[in-house]
Amino acid sequence: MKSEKVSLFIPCIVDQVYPEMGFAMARVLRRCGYDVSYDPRQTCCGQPAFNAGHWDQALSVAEVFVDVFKDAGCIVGPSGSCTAMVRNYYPRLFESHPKRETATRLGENIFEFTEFLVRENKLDRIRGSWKGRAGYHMSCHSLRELRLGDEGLRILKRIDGCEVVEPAGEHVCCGFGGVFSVKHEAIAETMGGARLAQFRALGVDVVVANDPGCILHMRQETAARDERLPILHLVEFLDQAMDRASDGYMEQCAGGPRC
Amino acid sequence: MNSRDKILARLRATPRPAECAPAHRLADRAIYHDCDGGSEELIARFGARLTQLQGEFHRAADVKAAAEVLLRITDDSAGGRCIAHAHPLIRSVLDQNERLAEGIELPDPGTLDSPDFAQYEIGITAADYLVARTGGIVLHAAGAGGRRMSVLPPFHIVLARRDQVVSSLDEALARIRETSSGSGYGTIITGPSRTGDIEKIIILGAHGPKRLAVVLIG
Amino acid sequence: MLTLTEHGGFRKRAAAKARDPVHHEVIAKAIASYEKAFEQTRAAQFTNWQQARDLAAGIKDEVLARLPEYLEQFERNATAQGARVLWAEDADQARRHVVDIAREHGARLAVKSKSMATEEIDLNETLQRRGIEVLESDLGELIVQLAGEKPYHIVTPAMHRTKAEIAALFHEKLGVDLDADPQGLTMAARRHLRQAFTQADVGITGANFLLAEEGAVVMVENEGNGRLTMACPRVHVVVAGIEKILPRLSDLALFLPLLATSGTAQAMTCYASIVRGPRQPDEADGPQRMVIILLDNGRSRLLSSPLFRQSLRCIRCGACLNACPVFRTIGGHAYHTTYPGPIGSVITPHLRGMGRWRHLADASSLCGACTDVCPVRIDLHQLLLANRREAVRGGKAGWFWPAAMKLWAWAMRDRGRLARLRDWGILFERLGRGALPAAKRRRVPRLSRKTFAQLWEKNEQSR
Ligand code: SF4
Repeated sequence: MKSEKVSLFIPCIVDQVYPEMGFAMARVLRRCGYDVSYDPRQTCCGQPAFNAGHWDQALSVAEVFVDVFKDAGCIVGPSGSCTAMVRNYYPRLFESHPKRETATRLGENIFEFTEFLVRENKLDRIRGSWKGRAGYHMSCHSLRELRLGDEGLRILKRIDGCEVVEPAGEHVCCGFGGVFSVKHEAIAETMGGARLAQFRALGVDVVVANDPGCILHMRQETAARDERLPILHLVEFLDQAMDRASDGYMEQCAGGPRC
Repeated sequence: MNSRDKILARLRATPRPAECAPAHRLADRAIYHDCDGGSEELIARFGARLTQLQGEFHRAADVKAAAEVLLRITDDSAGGRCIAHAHPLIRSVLDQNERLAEGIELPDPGTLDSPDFAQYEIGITAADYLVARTGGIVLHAAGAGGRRMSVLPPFHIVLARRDQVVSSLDEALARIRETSSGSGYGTIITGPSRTGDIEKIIILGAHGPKRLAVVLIG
Repeated sequence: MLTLTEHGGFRKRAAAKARDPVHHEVIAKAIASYEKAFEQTRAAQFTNWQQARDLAAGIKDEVLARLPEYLEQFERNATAQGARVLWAEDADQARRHVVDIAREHGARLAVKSKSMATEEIDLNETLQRRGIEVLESDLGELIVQLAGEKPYHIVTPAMHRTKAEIAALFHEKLGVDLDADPQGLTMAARRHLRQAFTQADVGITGANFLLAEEGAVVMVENEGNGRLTMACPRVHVVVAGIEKILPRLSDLALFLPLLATSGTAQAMTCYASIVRGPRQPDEADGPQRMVIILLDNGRSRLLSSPLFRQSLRCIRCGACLNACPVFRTIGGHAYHTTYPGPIGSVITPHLRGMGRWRHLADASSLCGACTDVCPVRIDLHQLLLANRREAVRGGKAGWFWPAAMKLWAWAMRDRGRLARLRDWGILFERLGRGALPAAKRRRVPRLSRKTFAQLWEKNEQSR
């Protein structure tokens, strides 16, 4: 069987801070039967500048992004936020720009990881095992920009031995917000603390999230408190769960790629 | 140019959006839970809502029975002074019972401006409509003894006939438009006065009536 | 030194509240109870909340598209009912109108019911300076007035106060028992204000809606203080923003439940009063005079922006404040604006100057919770984003971030440049890390020694 091609979109945080997430996603996609490729000219979708109001800078970076991916076909990335940037905001950013059409088309071809797997019906390819209680944190942009629903939860629930829990009530932001967490770190820290407290109250062994930004922020929060609550990207979690029928505690993946 | 003209000129100078949507009118049934059925159902619905809001709902088969209800509920209200609006429906109820009529002051509407409402424990008024869906009481000042009688005394009693029950706010508002177009003040009362301003704890009788009762006749 | 922006002060106040666990607990509890009740009320009443929001937004948009005509219609019809309609371009004109009316009637005491428009024009301070005493009659407003504070929240002004604090305040100011419970405190407020309603010369209210076709002022409330404020004094003054227009009475069938549900999680507020002029010939009582002041104060500027005009749909329900994780963290006072929370951060820079208030838009993670709850579908987080952009374009974003973003974009456009900048970054990180305090150090993310791009290449070669 000829496998379908997928082009990796590696957001800047993954490229610069958490490359292991990129590898985990690549491995999971390969195990689901995809032919994975990566173009190293990509750097960033432009969201940091865009969200800070610096649209000229955002556009100059987004132009590169569009050039890199213009012939890519299906693009998959481990971030709801960056996916939303391309899909929802490129049309506006590229308004009256010669590449507007290409940019808009990219938006139709780019997918957040969970969205992609569920849309492509690849759930039955996932077999893994992990014993414990996992809390799932979906990023705000996955929820409110991409309007994702239970995709991530459905994937997690396929893992043997994994009890998936969700905090009750309305979804709450973890406080990352890109430049926001730099400009207003005190607010962002408290928000992160409040979000983690919800998971702690549920007695989770791990927090699984689908956006590297949220993970960065929550990991900083746990680190500052010397807390040993692992926070994993869903792709890392899946990669490890698929890897081994592990029993019990799973070490936080920090050491880079394990290929 | 005065400020009126300046403001209007500024507003006129702003570009208008290309499509100025036609007036959307409320497709009531599409967004709210249905509230229809026969009049008995509507009455039951109204009563249930009002009770839920901690109002009291009483039914009386006729004006005579209504007088008895009125006597009972005014009696157990500490025997304070009672004022009523000289509305035909209220008059007809008071006429049924001498003791009741004696205990209730029925000032001439022309002199209503003067009474010191602080002396009254109970105010009795008529209403225009009762809204089944929300448990609301719609009244207008000219038909309910003025703007204050229904809000100053700590206990407000409303007398109404069963044909005044309507299903929805939509319907009540449509009827108000037809009937009381010239009146100066109307209010929709939904439950006794309350506040949640201290730690969201609900306290009844903040400034308006603490007790609210509807006596439905018929 | 002259402070040109509020930014520094805001950051400090926000950080202080963010680190105040007691504040956090009080607010979290209040909002949790609102959220729970909201869900129940909404589900019990609406079959199609989304469509209700669409309808409401559509009606408001239509009003905004024909605002001058609607305002004139309102003026005509209100005047026909005997009310006097005055116009105010800014806060100063509005204040002057109120002072003139009060003077004309020799007023010494005014009672007021909750109104954000009068907060916007600092009316209480003005009247008090002119020797006219003003008593807030809404319990929440009374609490903040006695405490010498501004409202914390546009719907629940005293949300940040515990019952013990309020008891202490009432003990000091009104002589109430120190151990009074909420019931006792509410009754104390009732007693305190009873006399005032009958003695006051002027009653001042806001308006939730202005009905163009009826020339009516609509006001919703739960306590009854608003009704008393409108009914008892000789003169009734209304201060209302020009965006408060609804075409006609029947629109209330949508807007009253919508506002009550979003505002206080009620199907309907206890009272929704529809006032058309002063005492009419067939009425037994009511004020002799009614004056309605239509306030622009920057609203026409919002209207003139194709993007920001939607912010004038706002019915001031406060739902976006409740939903906002930043508001929950820093509270309503940190903003130093009349309207705190998302809607305040959207409109304040346009009402009071981008230069001074641009920082508000930065205090958002753009999580979009506000946009999701807004009953009139204002794209709040998009407008926050637009404010950030406007600040940058107008050269009002300072020097640091524009420079940093230029450098960032320069590097991000090219792998080679990015690699070089990154090497510098790692060097700085190594040098700088030791200088940071331990807790801080742990908060700064470390760059990976190699990028994904570098590792991928190596990895694919060995595959
Ligand atoms: S912006 Fe929307 S949610 Fe916020 S107060 Fe206004 S109407 Fe309510």
